[in-house]
Amino acid sequence: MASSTPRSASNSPTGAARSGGEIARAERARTWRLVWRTLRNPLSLAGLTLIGLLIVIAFIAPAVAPYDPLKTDTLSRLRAPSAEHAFGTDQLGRDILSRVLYGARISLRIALLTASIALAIGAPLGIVSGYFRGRMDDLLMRITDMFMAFPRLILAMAIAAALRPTLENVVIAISLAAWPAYARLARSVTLGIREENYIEAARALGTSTGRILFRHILPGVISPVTIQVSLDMGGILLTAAGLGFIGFGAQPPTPEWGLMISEGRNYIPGQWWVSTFPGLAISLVVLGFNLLGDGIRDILDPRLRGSGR
Amino acid sequence: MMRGRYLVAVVLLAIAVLLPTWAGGAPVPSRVPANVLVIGTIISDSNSLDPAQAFEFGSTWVDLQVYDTLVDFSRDFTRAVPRLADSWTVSQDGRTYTFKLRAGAKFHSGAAVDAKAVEFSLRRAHTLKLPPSFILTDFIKNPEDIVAISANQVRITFNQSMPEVLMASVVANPVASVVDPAVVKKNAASDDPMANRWLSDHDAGSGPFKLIGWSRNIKIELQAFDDYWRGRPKMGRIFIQEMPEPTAESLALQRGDIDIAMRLLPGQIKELTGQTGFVTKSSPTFSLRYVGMNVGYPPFANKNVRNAVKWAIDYDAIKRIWEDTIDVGQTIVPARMFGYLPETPYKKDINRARQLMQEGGQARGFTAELLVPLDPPLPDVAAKLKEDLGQIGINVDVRVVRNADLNTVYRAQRHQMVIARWGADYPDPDNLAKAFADFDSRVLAWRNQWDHPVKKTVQQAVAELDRTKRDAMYKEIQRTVLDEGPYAVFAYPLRQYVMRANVKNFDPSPLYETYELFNAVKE
Amino acid sequence: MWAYLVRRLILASLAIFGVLIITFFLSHVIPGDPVAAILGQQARQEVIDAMRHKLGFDRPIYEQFVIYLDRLAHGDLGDSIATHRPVLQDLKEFFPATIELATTAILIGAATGLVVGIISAVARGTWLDHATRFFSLIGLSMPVFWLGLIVLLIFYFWLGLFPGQGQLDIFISRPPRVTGLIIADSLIAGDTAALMNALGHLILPAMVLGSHALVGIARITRASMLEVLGQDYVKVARSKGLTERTVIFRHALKNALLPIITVIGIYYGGLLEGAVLTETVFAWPGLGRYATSAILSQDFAAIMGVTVLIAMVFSLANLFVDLAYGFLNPKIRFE
Repeated sequence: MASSTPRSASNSPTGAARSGGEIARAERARTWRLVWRTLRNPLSLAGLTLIGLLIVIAFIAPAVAPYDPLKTDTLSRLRAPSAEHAFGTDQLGRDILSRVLYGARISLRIALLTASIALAIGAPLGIVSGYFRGRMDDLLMRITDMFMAFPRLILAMAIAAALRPTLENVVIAISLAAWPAYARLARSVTLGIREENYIEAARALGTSTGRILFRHILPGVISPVTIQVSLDMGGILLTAAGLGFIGFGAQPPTPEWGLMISEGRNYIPGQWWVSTFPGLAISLVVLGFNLLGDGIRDILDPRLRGSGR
Repeated sequence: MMRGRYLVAVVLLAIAVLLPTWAGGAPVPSRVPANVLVIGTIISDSNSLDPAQAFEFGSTWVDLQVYDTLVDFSRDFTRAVPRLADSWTVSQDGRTYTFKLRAGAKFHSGAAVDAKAVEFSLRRAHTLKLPPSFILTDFIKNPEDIVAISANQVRITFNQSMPEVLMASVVANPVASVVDPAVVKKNAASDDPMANRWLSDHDAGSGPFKLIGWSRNIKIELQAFDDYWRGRPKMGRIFIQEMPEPTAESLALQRGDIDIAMRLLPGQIKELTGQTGFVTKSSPTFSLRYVGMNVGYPPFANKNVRNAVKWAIDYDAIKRIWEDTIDVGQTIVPARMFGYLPETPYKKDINRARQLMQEGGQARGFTAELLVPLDPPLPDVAAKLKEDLGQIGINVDVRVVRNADLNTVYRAQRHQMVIARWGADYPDPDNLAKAFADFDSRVLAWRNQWDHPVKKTVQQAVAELDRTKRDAMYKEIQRTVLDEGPYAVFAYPLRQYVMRANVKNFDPSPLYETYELFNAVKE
Repeated sequence: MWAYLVRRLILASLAIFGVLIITFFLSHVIPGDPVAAILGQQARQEVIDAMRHKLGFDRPIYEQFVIYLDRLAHGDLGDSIATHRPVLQDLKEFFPATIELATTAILIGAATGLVVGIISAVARGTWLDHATRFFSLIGLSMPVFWLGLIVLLIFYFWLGLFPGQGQLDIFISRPPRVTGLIIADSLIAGDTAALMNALGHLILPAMVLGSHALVGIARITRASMLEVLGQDYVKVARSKGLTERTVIFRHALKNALLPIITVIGIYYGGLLEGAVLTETVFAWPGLGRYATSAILSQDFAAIMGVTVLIAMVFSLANLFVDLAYGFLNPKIRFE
C-alpha cells in the first residue's frame, strides 16, 4: 500500500548542449534499452506477460465470453463449475467466467484512467515547481507534504464518499490521493534537467519558457513518472478493490473484480467459486504489475542488477 | 536440500493428520463454558443503550434484557399481559389506564420498583425528545398525564381512546422502560440532567440481566440478576459479541466460539440448516422491503407507470435470491397483525407492464436512479430489478449508498427510486398506515410526494374503537395503496438465526425486541 | 541540528493543520446528514432538527469550524454522534489495538522480509532469487480482505490452529487497562492466560497485514545487501577464507541494515492505514474500523479525530525516519 518514492536520478542526461531532436533520439534509445532489458529479466517478463494477457482479454472479452455478463438466471444460482459454466455461476445465476472476462476491461480502465489523471495533475505541477523554484515551489512542496501526511486510503475514502459512488469517481479519489508523489518526482527530475547546459543554451537563444518546458523538460519527465505510476499500479487496483469492499466502489451489476469478491465473500466456503475466480484474476493482474515493477527497479538501479557476478 | 525435503514431508504429514478433523463428521465441540452464552451479532449500529434513546435492533433488544416495562404483549400480539404491573383498569372512554404494580420487583441497585419510579421514567423519556419518544408523545399529550397516584399505582391519561393492543404498543415499548431514579440522579451532570450520556452504556434497570459493560466494537456483557421477580435467569453470563463479517460469524459458530449466530445471511443459514449440531430458528417479522417511487419525478406522477413497475418485478426471482426466506406480501400491513389484507395481485407480466407504460405516456421509456442500502441481499435485488425494468424501457441506474446518504436524500424527497425497509415501531396497523398512506404525518407518503385523500381514513381509523369497523378501514387503506400507491412491496423477510443444538428456550417472535434471553438455557 | 528539528516540527504542524482544514471542509461538503444517518429513517423530522440544532449543525460551516478550533485548543475533540462519547475517549480505546496489530505485523513482515531479501541477494539471478521474490509478491498481490478471509478459513476454521476474530476470547476478561495494549497490560497484571490468548489472536491478522510490508522490506534488504556485498571489505573478508555464512551475517548484513531500518519505519506508518480492511475481517476493535464507520455514518468529530491522529503519527514517523537516517549515516547533514 505504501510505496517509497525512489529518487531516481538515473534520468538526468549528462553531456554538452543537445538539440531537441537529439534528446528525443537519446530518449528513444534509452527506452529501447529498457524494453530490451525488461524482456531479458524473467520476473518482469512474467509480469509483462500477465499485463499483456489483461490487455488482450479486455479487448476480446465480448468475442470470447460465453454468456452475457449481466444476464441473470435465478433458477440456476450458485452452480459449481461445470462444462456449461467453467467458473460456475454467482448468486444471481450469472456466468462467472463471462463476468471475469468482462472485468478485465474495467480493471484496464481503472489503470489507464488513474495513470492519466495522476500524471495530468502531478507532472505539470512538479515541472512548474522545479523549473521556477522560489515561492511557488515552497508552496507546492508544503501542499504535497500535507497530502502525504494524509493516510491515502482514508483520504480516498473521504473523497469517494463526497462524490457519487461510481467507478469513475473511485478513480478520481485515488488519483487525488496519489498525485503528490508524482509531483515530487517530476520536480526532482526537472531540477536535474534544468541545470543542463542545453537548457541554458536554449534560454540564451531566446527560446520561450513555454517551449523549453514543453520541448525540453516534459519529455524528460514523462518517462520516470510513467514508470513510477506503473510501479504503483498494483497498489492502485487493490485500493480500488478495497474501496469496493467498504462500499464506495463500483455499482452492481458491474462485473468489477473487487465488487465480485466482495459480494462472493458471503458464500465462502460453501460456494468458494463465487469469490475465488475474480480473486485470482485481480491477484494475477496485480502480481503482473508488481513483477514488472520489481524488474524495472532492478534495471534502473544498477546495484540491483541480477546477472552482474 | 535434504533438510528441505524433510520439511516438506512433515508438512504433508501434518496436513494428512489434520485433514480428517475438519472433513465432515461431528461438529467441533463448543469452547464456551457451560454457564456462559455467547451471541454473535452486530451492535455497532446502536449508539446508546439508554432506553429513552435506543431505537435500533441491537440496542432495543439489549434493553429488553436489562429493563422491564409495565406490561408486555401476549405472544400473538392481540392482548397486553402483566409485567411490572400485575393488573390494570381502564376508564369508560378508553383513555385512562390505572396500573397496579406488583410487589417484590427490585432494581439492580436493590431499591424497590415503585410508582414514583414509573412516573419518573416515562416522564423522562417523554421530555428527552429522542428518536423513540414519539411513541409516547403521539399518544400522551403532556408528561403530567403520567401520575403516581399511590405508592404502587400509576395512572396514564392518553390523548385518545386506546384499544388494549394500542395501549400495549406504547407501554410495552422499550422506550417506556422503567429506570432507577436514584441511579439516574446520582449520575446526572449539569449539562446532562437526565444522565442520558451515562446511561448510554450503564445500567439502571430492573430486568433479568445486569449490564456489566459495553466495550464498543467488541462486546456487551450481561450478568444474571439474582433478585429478579420472576426468578434468577438460567444463564449466569451472556456475551453479545460484535461480528461485522457474516462469513466469519458462521465460521465462529461452527468452531464452537459462539452459541448463537444472529446475523447470518440467507445462504449461510441454508448451509447450516439440517446439519447435526445446529438448530435454525425462523420467524415472520413485522418488517417489510419495498421499492419507493417518487411521485415528484415526472414519469412516476402517472399511476399507470407506477403500476407498470409493480407488474415488471419478478417476485419469484426475488424470493429465490433470498433463499426462500421471505414471506411474499404486497400490502403494507404484515400477516399476523390486526387488519392484514391477504392479497398479492402483482406478478411478473411484461406485456401488461408494457401496456401500462404506454397508457402512462412512457412508451419510449426513461431513466431512473435507484438508491439501495448496502445491506445484502438488497444490492442483488437491485441488480435483478435493473434487468426486469430494462425490459419495459426503464433504464435503472443502481446506486448502492451509505445509510447517511439514503436517509438524507430520501427525507429531502430528492430520490427517484429507492429500495428501503420499514419495520413496525409497534404492532398496530396504525403505524404502517400512517407511514405509507398519511401524507400529513410526513413520513413515507410525504417523502414519495403521494398526497392521497385516503389519509383521512388513516386519521380516523386510529381512534376507532369498533373492531370490525376499524378492520374494514385498514383494509380499504391497503387496497388504495396497492392500486395507486408509489410503493412496490416485495418482501417480508423472515428473521432467522442459527444456534448450537444445546441451546434451548430462546425463541423468535415477529417483533425483534421481544426475543427474551430470560428463559434461555444450555444443556 | 536543533534548528532543523524545530523547522521540521513547525512544518509538520502546518501540514497537520492543513489536513485539519481539508478534512473539515471535505467531510462537511459530503452530501448526507450525519444526524439522519444516526437516527435512522424512521425517526421523526422534529427529533432530527432538534439534534442538528443541539450539535450546531444548523450553523454556517465557517462558524462550525471556528467552534471546532476553539474546542480543539482546549483539548476537546468533540463528541462522536455514533458512540455518544468524547472522540478522545474513543481514540484512547481504539488506537492501542491498532498499534498492537501494526507493531506485530511489522515484526513479522520485517523478519520474513529480511530472510527473503538475504536469500535473494545471496542467490541473485538464480531461480532461488526469482522464486522467493515471486512468492513474496503473491502476498502483496491479493486484496487484503480476501486474503484475510482465506487465512481465517484455513488456519482458524479448517486447521483450528489459531483463534478467530477479536483481540481475546470473548469470555476472557481483559486485564486492567494501564497502557491500553493488551499484551503489555497482561504482562503488567501477570495474567499469562490472557497473554497467551491475546498472542494467539494477534498472529493471523498480523500475518495478513504484515504480508504487505514484507515485499518492500525484502526489496530494500536485497538491494542494500547487493551493494554491500560488492564492497571491497567484503571481498577482503571472502579472500581471507571466511565462510560464506560469516561473511554474510557478520560483515554484510551489519552494514546493510541501515537503509533497511529506515524503510521499516516508513512501512510502519503505512500499516496503520492498511489496518482498515484487516480490522473489518478480523473484527479487530481498532482505529481502522472506527474510521470506516465514522466515514460511513459521516460522524464529523470522529472523522476529524482519526485523520488528525493518523496525520500526526505519519508526520512523526517520517521525522524519526529522517533523524535516524541522519544519525546512522554521517554523510547526511541536516540543513
